[in-house]
Amino acid sequence: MDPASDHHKLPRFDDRLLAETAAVWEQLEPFAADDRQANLEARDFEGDFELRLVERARLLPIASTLADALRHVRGAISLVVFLAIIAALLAGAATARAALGTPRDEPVNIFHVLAATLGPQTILLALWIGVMFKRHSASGMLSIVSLGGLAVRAGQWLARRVHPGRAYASAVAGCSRTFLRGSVGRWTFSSISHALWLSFNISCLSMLVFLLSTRQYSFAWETTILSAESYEPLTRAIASVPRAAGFLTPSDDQIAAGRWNGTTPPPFDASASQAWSALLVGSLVVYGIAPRLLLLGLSLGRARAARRRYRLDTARPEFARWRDVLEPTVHSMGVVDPSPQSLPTGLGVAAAHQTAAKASSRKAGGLPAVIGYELPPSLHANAWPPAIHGTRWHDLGMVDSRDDRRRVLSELAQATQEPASLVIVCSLTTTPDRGVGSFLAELAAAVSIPPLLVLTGGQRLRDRQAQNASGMPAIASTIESRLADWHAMAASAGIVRSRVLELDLEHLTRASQSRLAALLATGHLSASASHEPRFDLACSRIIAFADERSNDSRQVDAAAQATLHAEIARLYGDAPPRWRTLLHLPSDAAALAPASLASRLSASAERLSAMLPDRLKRSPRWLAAGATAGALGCVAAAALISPVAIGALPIWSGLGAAIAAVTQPGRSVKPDASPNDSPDDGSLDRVVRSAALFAMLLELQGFDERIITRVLDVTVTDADADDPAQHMRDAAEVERWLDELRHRFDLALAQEVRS
Amino acid sequence: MSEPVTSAGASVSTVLRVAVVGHTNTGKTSLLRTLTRDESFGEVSDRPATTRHVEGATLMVRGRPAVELYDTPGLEDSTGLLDLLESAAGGRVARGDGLDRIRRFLASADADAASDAGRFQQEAKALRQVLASDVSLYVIDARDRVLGKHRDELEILAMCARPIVPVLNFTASPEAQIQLWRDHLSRANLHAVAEFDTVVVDDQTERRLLEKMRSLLDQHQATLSGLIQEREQLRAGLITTSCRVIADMLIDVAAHQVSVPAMDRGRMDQAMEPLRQRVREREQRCVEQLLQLHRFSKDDLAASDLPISDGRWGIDLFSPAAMKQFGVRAGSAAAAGAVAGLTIDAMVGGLTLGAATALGAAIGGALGLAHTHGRRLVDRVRGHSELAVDDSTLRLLMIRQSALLSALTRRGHASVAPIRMGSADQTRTHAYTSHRNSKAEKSLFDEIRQHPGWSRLQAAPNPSAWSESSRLNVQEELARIVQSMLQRGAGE
Repeated sequence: MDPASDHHKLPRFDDRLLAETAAVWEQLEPFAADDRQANLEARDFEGDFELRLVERARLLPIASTLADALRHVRGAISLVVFLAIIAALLAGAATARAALGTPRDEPVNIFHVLAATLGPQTILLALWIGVMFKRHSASGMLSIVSLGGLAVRAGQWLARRVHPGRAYASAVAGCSRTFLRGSVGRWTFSSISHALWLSFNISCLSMLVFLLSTRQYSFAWETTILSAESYEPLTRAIASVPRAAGFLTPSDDQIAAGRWNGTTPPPFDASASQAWSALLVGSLVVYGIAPRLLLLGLSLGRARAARRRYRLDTARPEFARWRDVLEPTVHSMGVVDPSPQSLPTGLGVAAAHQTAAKASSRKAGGLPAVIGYELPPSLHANAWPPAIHGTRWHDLGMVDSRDDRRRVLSELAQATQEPASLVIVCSLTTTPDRGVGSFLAELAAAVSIPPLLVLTGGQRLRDRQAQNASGMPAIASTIESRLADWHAMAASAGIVRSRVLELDLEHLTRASQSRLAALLATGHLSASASHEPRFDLACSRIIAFADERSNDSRQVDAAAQATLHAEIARLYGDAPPRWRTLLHLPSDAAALAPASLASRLSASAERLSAMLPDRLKRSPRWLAAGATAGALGCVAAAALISPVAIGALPIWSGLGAAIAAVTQPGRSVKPDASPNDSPDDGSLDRVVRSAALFAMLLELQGFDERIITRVLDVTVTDADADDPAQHMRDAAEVERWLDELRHRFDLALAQEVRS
Repeated sequence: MSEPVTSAGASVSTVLRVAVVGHTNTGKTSLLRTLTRDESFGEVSDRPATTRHVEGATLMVRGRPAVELYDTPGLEDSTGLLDLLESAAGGRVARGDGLDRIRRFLASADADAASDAGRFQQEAKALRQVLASDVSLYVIDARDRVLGKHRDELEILAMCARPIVPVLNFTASPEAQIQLWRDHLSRANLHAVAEFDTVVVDDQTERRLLEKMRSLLDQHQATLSGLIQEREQLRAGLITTSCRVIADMLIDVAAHQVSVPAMDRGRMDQAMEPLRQRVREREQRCVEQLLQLHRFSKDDLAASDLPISDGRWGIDLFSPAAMKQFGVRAGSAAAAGAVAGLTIDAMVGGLTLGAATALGAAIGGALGLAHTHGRRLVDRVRGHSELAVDDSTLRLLMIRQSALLSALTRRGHASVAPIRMGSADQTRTHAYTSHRNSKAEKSLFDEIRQHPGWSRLQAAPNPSAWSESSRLNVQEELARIVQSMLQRGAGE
């Protein structure tokens, strides 16, 4: 029992009982067990997980305490069983005494004696057999109905009464888990039950023999309702087994003569009485002692076997949690071959030097050359070479393999005229690696003007990301990191950042076409406004605005907003003033006099809000953004017509009211009444949305109103702008949002133009 | 079939060495994470050259090393390397000649990490590991087209004269071009191709991968069979254990009861709140236990549909939204609450029939009133009643945890994105809710409510001697119900 003494033997049932107890203990005291040492030692134990669990329990610091508690609990159970055996002995003797203790002048009713001594236990035996057939619930039922179960429970109860404390609670629970369940429980209860009945029978028999030896009884049977004919065979049947076992039994005549009519006692017949008492003793031996003895032997044997076979249920959570600790399935070797201090950087420049020398001696003048590197087949089937207005390409084709690379490099080297520019198209879905890097370096070295790297497939990458994690904020950063990787790769290949362009060739728009055309023409991203689409400028203006404000307080006053809108309007100043008609704005300064301005404001706020797609109208934020854009557009118009400082316009009181009238139609217009849900809260997020809306409107001027609505519907995808988590807070977020917006706007516009 | 021999020297030779190679950013480290079930292995990102070292892990079978896996840096510039290998020979490399050439390359300055000229040092690291291994797993991003670089990589690997098992990763993606890859690989004489998705893992893919390896490696058959067998056993055991964890939580919650003055609505609400809180905490503990069992860290989980974020369910257990999400009918729950209220009314002589019915309906979504016997009867006579968690809530707990468990069992350790429920999971949820085994479930819950002592929600748990064994029996039975529910969910 001592956990230390049999350290090297195979674990026995007692050790597993200890492990069960320790598991209960750890559930009760989750933080108390200092098990690090035990875990380490048990992990090195030779054997499977279950053996290691047992070993671990033996090694726990609490083990000896728990083993003591277990010993005491089992001692208490033994004590109760011992007391029960004594009680059974007493009960047996008392039963025999009571059964034979009839008045002198009456014969002893043989069937009453048999019923009193054998009756109850035979019924319980039948019950036991019945229960044992139900294997799964047997131990549970036995723990309730059998004497053994009662004894064990009483023992546990006693232990708990005598010893309070967690260790004993664990020990009792541990005993319950093993003794009150499964085959161990089943056969242990059976053993105790049979032992008790055996004791009962032995003492009963002893008392019976004692009384029969020392007193004279005459035996008889009687009946009222049954006939003698049915009694005699019954008696013979009962007697048959004792007779076979060698006991003297009454003959047929003696049985017939044994009937008592209740009045006169039958004459004492010594031989008949001897035969009857022998039958009594024989029945007790054959029907009482013998089966119990056999069953006790069987139960003890099975209980022992069950204890030997007993294994911890490693699927139980309290054991399974140790699996990773005691029997790790993976052992980390760590880094076997460490990473270098720095990665190789000179992307095969050495190999490219010769071609570079050759190239520099030629003069440029050929057509712009275009190369597609590892592009998806759909792209070079449909959109190849990229259709840029007014550009004829020298198509160097697709590069997918080593042979292609060689072919392109030799074509470049052998061309008589160097291309005016070299455009390399790569897909953003490709991870930039040193392989493409060295190819870029070779290409860069092969021509004298720096090549232009066009990164297509952005939409494809976005789609792919969206499939992996829809609604995750990680998307933008993943695309950004992919772009950054390409920039880094291009830089190490000698292509400067301004010569790298993200441009989706599969979704080519007018704006992106002109961007590429501009780059081809000028060689660098041009800053001149003539080539720059105004919408881009408007976006960069908004970003700059956000940048100025993000350090500032979050609230943006209306004047600053109006200035932003005016600046955006000015970008489109040279275009015919169609946007004014769109917003129903007057074209003369008089109509924008302060007196009528207020009504003008709400009119144009309403106009713009009406143009919003239905989907966006449901979003209070977008509705407010629309109203703000409309109202501020009116202000911007006023500023354009009569160039006064916007701050001097006396319209601010009317602005909030105009917007509120649009966003909360049912309400009486009291803008100051509830500043919290005032639509114009001046947050950066709203300012950006309304300015972007305004810019889009100006870009779309000249289109049909329905088209405008349609384009806005396609462009603005984040209808959940009312979720505060989606709000833009600083310039970086604004830039990202505008970037995506611009991309979708280009797409939507291109689609409208096509159809 | 070679059995592990007793002498130490011989048993070492049965350890199978596997090099995981492939182009950059195809998911080599992810594959290792999934095979080792260790989400802390290496570093994973959607960027090139995340892994720049060789890192190893040993898979153990019954406590003994069986398979050594080595994660290698990506083969980024295979084209350049092949050029280099060929330029030394001035043309295509003859087959038998390849290994010598690789060895010569590994000894050259190009492969040297210390020298500046070592532009192929990363490739050299990988190839060195391939040469030191028995087999290499060649990981492919199945979303890619078959490109020249892949052909070059395969050509270089073929030179190493080691068996190659191509592993198609990201096969769950709609962009995956599995057939195209299989065609190409068979043209390269690679027929034992394994499909794998390190983000979405089901129990069979890993087994198939190991079987593919076994088919190529005669002398390691016993090792791999042992590994396959052990993995299956562990997996089954893990599911059993998880179901028991859930069952244990359900017993704690179902058995828990508080006694409150029956009709005082304000006080009743007050009494319910700590009960709710304890139940919430218990559910949380169950979530943590499950995550720990499946070796996931808390920050690994954040989700939209299956709303686990920071290792917590986002939707409160007692909100109607939670019931709705898993299709547990809140309406029936309200009725149950009302019935419980009426029972109490009958006990106190129908004094406040209307009030109790209304109240019962009001709190029905969350709690029902359970009646048990003994001391509780006395309480009732004193005008107290017992509050217990109602069936709908228990059912919701059960479904929610099962849904989490099934998500956990199907999730690769490499997935960087948090757990969420896709459409497949949605149908699974329907499977749970359409599961009609609720009779057995209900009678079990009723039985559990008879034993307040089984609950360990109270501050000081104290197992009484004999309830412990029956509690274990009930726990096992409940775990079986959870498991059958899980299987039904998986079978849909």
